[in-house]
Amino acid sequence: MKSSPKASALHKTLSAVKAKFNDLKSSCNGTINESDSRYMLTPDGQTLMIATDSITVQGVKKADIRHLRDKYGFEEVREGSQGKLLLRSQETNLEAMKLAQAALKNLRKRAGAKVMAHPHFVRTLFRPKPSAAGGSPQWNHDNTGNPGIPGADVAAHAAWLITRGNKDIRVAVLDEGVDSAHLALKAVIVAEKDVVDGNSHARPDGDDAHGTACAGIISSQDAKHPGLAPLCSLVGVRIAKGDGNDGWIFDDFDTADAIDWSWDEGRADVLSNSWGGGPAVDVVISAINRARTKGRGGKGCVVVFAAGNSNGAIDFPGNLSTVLTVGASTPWDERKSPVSKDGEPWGSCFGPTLDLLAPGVRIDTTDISGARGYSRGNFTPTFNGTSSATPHVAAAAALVLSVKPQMKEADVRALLTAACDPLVAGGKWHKEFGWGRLNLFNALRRARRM
Amino acid sequence: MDALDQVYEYQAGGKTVSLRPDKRFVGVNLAGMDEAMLKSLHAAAKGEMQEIRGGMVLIPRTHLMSRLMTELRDKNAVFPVFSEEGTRMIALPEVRVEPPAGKAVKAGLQSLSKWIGERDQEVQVLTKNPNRMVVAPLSGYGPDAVTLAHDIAKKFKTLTASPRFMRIMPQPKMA
Repeated sequence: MKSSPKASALHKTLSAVKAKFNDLKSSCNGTINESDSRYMLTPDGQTLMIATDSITVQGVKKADIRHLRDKYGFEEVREGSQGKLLLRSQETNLEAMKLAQAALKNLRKRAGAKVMAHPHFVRTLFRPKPSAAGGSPQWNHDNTGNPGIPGADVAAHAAWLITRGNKDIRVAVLDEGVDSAHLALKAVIVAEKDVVDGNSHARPDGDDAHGTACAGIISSQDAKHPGLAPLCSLVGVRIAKGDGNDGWIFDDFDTADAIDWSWDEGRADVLSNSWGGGPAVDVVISAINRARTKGRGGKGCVVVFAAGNSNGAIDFPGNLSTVLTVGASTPWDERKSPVSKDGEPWGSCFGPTLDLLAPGVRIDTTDISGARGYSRGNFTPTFNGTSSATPHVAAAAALVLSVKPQMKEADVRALLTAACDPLVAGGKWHKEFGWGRLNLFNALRRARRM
Repeated sequence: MDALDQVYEYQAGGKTVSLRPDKRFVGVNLAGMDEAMLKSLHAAAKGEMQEIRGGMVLIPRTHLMSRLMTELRDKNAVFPVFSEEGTRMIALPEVRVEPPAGKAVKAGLQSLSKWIGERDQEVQVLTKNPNRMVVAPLSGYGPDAVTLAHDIAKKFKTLTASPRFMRIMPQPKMA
């Protein structure tokens, strides 16, 4: 007999729930036993709660613990912090749950309402699936809610009604190289520098695709994969190389020289830096300060840095208060964290120098040409990290300067943060969100009015 | 304490930064090494020699037997690797001295030149221009440059002094 679509969907859900339960069971050291009646789905459908054969108590006297053991057979399984105890029944399945309920009732009667005692639930959140086929590949430009929340984007289409940039505004991408032969980039790359190997170009080695992905977010010329500031120019600056494993190699003096070259000979207006880590060093701090004070004929370059992806303290140089430090947001307008709805395991760093968030999950952008790099083709749909958030803000600074080229560095920084969509009540600064998520349209509207 | 296990300090952003040695690796400078030594080193590294840049390689400490380690030390070719905030760092024997951006420079660099002149058995000037000096310890030993940078920054408050670090940091996992 053919089942109805509704029954089929229900069956599918139950199978998924059971599969999830089995995963949980194997990771819970046997503290849970299977019984279908234990599954509870919260009304919003986002959380699966599984009742176990255990109870959690806190602030309970030893005599009460003994009573629970003698009368109901509950044994102490684990001691938590702040006096919490996990007690487990010796029974199994529904019998254990019934015992737990009776024990809790009895405990409240004996010890009063001050003690904390409740069933021990295992809960799991349903993570929304990342952009599947048919989802919006450029949610960062225009988020239609597939996946995420409609409008949780930088409002690129609206912004482009004001400007798509100006070729006189240059963004330097300081990274492991930029594929300057890429069909979507070569027309806008106006200068290159390689401080790693001293090449006459800034093209990367092997599979080093990071810088090319950053560059595409700023100025890709491809109609299907456009950059945010496609009419602005790019300066490729190679400052790092892969070490053949999972590392990047930098030389502090070369990095400082690359920063100096960018604002001086490279005549960049904006410096996009999706890198960072390790302790501070003055030679790099001084070079950044020179870019900010001497670049653009004294008006100052806008220097943008990634916050980092370790879900902890912000990396150097993003931890300097003088640069624009960018964290990553998700299609749900969250700070990207290991528990954000996108389901990716990393987290955007946060702290006192965080200025703003920009999209940083599964960003569609350029990949090094051909089979090398992140994908087999010339583009990749899944560029991640505060590395991908940073060029959004660099592109935004370039568009602001396209509208108002006379603006000073500090004014551009202030404008971009003031134009954010706030992510906390009252629009206040918050260590996890900065001033909110980049809103490019709002920034350009403000720039035009200045 | 073994020089490879020493904690070094330098100044950055007006603060003292401490560098702790990485227990797993040492840096070895292959530049100028004779063929026999290179051969011994390759044999000892058992395929775990990781090239960094400019002839500098990382080798697990446990692979360097004491005789080889002594030979490398005698040539000042073995460098401590520091490990901070998830980043491995090797100090090269160079210090860049400059004024903080926007600050007057002349007097500070003149005083520094005089100070270095009094230490010509320990320190040499590699390059000098009106806005910057690059100096080096005559030992050619990277950690000596960290100490030199620290001393200069402490003595000449109007200047910054940075050791030259090679950094190996985790590459962001992107796609």
